[in-house]
Amino acid sequence: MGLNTQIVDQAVADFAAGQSEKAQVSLSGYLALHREDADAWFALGLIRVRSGNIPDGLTALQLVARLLPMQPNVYRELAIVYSFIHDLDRSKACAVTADSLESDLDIDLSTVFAASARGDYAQVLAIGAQILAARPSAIRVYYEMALAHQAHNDYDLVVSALKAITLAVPACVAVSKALADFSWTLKKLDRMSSSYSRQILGQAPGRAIELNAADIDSYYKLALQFDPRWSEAHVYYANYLRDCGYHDAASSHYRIAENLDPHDPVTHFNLGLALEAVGEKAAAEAEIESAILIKPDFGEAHECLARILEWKTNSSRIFSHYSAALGCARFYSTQVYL
Amino acid sequence: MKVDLTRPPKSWRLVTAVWGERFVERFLTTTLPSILSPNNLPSLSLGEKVEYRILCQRADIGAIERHPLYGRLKQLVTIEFVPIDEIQGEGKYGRLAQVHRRGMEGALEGDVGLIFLTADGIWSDGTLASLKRISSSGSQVILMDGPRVVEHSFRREMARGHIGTGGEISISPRALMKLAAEHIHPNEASWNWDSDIIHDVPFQLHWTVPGQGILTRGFCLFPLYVRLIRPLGDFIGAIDHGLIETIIDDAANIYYCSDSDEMAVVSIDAIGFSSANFKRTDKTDRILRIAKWVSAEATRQNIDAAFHPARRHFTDLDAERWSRVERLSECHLNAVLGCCQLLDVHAELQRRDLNAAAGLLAFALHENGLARWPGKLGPRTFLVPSEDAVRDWLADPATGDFWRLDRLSVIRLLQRHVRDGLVPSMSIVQSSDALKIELADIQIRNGLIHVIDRVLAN
Repeated sequence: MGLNTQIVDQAVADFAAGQSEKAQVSLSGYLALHREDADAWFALGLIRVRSGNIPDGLTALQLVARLLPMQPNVYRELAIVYSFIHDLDRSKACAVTADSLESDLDIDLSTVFAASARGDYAQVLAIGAQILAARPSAIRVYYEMALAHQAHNDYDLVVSALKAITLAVPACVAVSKALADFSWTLKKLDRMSSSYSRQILGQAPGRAIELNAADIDSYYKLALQFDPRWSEAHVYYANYLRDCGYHDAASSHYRIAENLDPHDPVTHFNLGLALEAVGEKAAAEAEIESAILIKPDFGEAHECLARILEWKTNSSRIFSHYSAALGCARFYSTQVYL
Repeated sequence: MKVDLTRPPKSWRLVTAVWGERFVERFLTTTLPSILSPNNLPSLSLGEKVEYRILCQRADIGAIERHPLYGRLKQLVTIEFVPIDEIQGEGKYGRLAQVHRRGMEGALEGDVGLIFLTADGIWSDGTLASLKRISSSGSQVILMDGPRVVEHSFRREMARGHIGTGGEISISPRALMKLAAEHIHPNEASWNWDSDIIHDVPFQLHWTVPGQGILTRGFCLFPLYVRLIRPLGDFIGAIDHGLIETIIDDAANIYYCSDSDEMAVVSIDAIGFSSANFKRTDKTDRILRIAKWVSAEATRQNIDAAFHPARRHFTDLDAERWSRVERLSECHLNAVLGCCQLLDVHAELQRRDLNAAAGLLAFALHENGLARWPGKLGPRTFLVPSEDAVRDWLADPATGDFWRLDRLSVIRLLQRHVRDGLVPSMSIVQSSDALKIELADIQIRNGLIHVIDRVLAN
């Protein structure tokens, strides 16, 4: 028996024996060290809800939906919790999501999962296509195929696969956020290609593809509607807003993300850039400094801070930050948004 | 055995490394049909002994053998499948390098001319005929590359007019380059010099000649053709990165394909990227970012390669326009390499705790356009003011009003601290009685540093 199962079983037993507090303390202690353990979060969420701590229980269950986006029982529980608090719209959306995911539970996806686990994404797509030919609405198959397309960098196919299921799983935040992320990225890539193509071919510049799109915005909002405490979703949405020129709105979402996860250097950094864009240099400086404090080898942040400090008289700080920027390796992350 | 490069190789070997269903499918629908066009493999194999070493997984062999074009291929060449299931390497590129090494085995002993074909390329008709001609005139290596295109739309278009009745893809270089321009991959856009977005791995750079094509300078060019003249040693990275300098004795034996009319290829790719490879940039930042990548990753041969531009075009060349773009691109390349030199100086100063001078240089690189420092390339000697000298100068209101200097003034200031060539400390002292050298003759890549006791402000 693994540590996870022991902890969860013991917590459930404690709860059943009326020791709710003990069960929650035990699970919380375990989860402090194992943040990605969905089973433990699920148990904690249920225990909290059944102990009357609805807000914290909801938070835990929302986290489980992020970690296990294709598990119907999570949405079933979320539907119940939302009905407790009379949020009937969200309750209904969660019930719809659970129903959709349960509708294809009879399909054996073990070969798909096995192919995915060994990185054979072509096989995932081949098996997936066969299943879809017989069961065109198999949500979990579309989701696995979207992951496979992502592994192949086939972003247009990722978007197609996710679009095929988004209406059926409105409460699935992983699908909503991914759809927003990939749609936005695809637009950027299309814009880069088309404008360069016109340049090479000697054609007059066409109207640039607008990044701002109602569907992208609505997918991000949908994700945040069902998981308002997902800091990463706030950061990505803010990056998108910033790309569209909405710096103030972006700052608001960065700040929410910062409150949810104060130790993420990337959030501080991005907020700093958004603040700099609207001329709030002092606030920007403080955010970038926070980013460097958390991640001293954050080259982009050193560079940005040196630039912000330009007009002050503290030359040695500017010099040292620019020097540090030259010495740091690039920071590969989709969230570091320049 | 001694290989005589003035004579053609005794036989030829095509080498393709391919694994996984996806790339096998690409190989069968791009590489294979395009090399079967009349002036590719049929022309190369005329009166010649040609083998095709296909390095793939055992599970992939059946799919290749079952393909309708396999029979045609078999008529032209001897096919050898080499299973690669057991070959391991560090990451996919490390594995690919090991697989290519297997592809080269026995080539030296048999004096075999190796032709590397990627599994996702479409070659213009005539590429292999050109290769045969060029390799017979003493070239040991032929380097080339081609643009990446968006897979789905490109293939749709390709299927409309360039696939022959036998299934082969026969496309002229100009038609191929035109299609490439119409379906250019976003990565290529990020390598365009004028773009406001830059790729994190700028292994090639483009300058546009509107209405005609792209001038490209590539650091990592693909070795289409290789002839071994000695046993293969270790090489770093993939074959388009570190192989060439380990196999050549004389750089003059490298043939750089400079015109797509001669040979042309495109590689197909999905539209996406695996991480946040694209960053916003401006001209100064662009040079700095490219220089950082070149400093960290490029080999000597990679840099030499960038001095051999390739004209990829779909119309007749307007010679004057292309020459002008070529000259401009060389200035840009020199700016990048000049910046590399300054980055080397900066790194050395940081290593020696000469932080004030390092900071001043870093500031100038970022803010004052020193990244666009003009000047001819070559070894240089840098007179670097000591910590005290920089601090005193910055603190002195009479001379240290650094913040008000414009770009040109900063460049002039730096230039006062630079001498062309490797100038030993003794010569510096002899030329200036007042100057004291505190630390002499620090060697860096392609340069020397002397630490001096003052800022040469005027």
